[in-house]
Amino acid sequence: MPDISILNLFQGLSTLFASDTSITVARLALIALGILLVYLGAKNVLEPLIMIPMGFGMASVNAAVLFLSGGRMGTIFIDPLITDPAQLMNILQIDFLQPIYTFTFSNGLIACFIFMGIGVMTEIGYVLAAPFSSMLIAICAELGTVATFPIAVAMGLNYNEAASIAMVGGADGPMVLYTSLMLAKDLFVPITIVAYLYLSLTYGGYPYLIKFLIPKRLRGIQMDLTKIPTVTAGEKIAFSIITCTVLSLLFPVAAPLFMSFFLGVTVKEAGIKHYVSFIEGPLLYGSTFFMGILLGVLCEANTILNPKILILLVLGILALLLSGIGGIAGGYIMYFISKGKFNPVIGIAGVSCVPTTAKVAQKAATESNVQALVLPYAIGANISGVITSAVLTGIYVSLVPLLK
Amino acid sequence: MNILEACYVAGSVFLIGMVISFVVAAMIKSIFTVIKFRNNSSAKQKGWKHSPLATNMPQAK
Repeated sequence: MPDISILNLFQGLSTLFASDTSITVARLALIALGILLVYLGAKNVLEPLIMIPMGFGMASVNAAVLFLSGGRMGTIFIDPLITDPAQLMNILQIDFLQPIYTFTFSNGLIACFIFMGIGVMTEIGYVLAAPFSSMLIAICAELGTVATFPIAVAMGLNYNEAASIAMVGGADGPMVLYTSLMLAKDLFVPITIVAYLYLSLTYGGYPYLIKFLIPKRLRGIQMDLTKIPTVTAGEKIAFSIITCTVLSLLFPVAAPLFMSFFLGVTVKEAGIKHYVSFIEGPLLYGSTFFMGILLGVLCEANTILNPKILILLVLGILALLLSGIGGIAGGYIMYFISKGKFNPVIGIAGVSCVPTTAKVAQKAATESNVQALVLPYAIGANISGVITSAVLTGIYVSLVPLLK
Repeated sequence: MNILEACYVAGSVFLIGMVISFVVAAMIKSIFTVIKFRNNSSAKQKGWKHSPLATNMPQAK
């Protein structure tokens, strides 16, 4: 009878013993984190749509390390670092998630699909109703996206990495994914994971920031909803196609994002029901599901164990905090311009985490005054935030590669 | 790479972003204005053609 070691039979266990201590500890920690994410997602503490598939992927990939040919250790899930075409063709036939990663994730297609879904679900009429105030708030809420860049450089990141982590301040997951894929491919896994983890926490964290920065009497200001004009579908379509063309003309690198978003808006406004139900159903949820799995699977200890991860964690939370403060500052500017008629709470909705921050603004207003309805203005600022985030993505992706 | 240059880059990104955001807002306003002007003028035209004055007006010979 051949001599079969129990550790050869259970390779997940034997690779734990055969790895460096740091890798073993990281694998065990990531398995525990994956289980925790599934638990928190199932309890609705974190966003379940992303966290449940991500947690599953994370726990599973770190448990399933085995000995591959040549005695090296790896998994049969995915190989994100492969670049040689011949090797890639081989891996595509072995690693079961590699086709989805190669053909949808690493080229940013999945981010565009999600952006198309956001476009279909977006009511752009509120932006068109008050464009200047919405845009002013949105650009103020990009404070984190701008201010984090020099701080990241000061902490030792290069320009590409600094721009990628700064985009967390835009609070838009697909945008962070897109920027890091374009600028910092080596760090896109930890940056995107940091972004999605923190974005899940905005619903819990921003209400405290609002209470800290805005007194109760200002939080309860009632907005005049009679001033909101009716916007027709034709006006929305005209706005979408003109804005998309102009922005694509200015920033060709970010044109896939612009096209996806405004195409989603236009499909909805044109009333093409079959496209709408396809994009907001199978396409959006399918993309979100696979993105969650891929993000989890990419958290393999060997890939994610990077000395820069701690810096990214600090910079990510800093970017979101600064953007929240900037948004509220924008709300205050509108409060003073309107001579006290504008509720500064709406400022937080400039942070483009659609529709979470708009709901946070409405909740904060209602807690202070049950009759304070700010949601239409908050959604306007929210959608403007998506547009300004896409614009800043375009600027970073176009500008940073030109810098030495 | 230095921090001063990074601050300069960040400032430029913010300024360009602000200008483009306001250009987008101005575009929205102008689209509104053009569409409203068109609607108003076509409404006036329609109103004139269907007004009693127009229908009762004797045709030019």
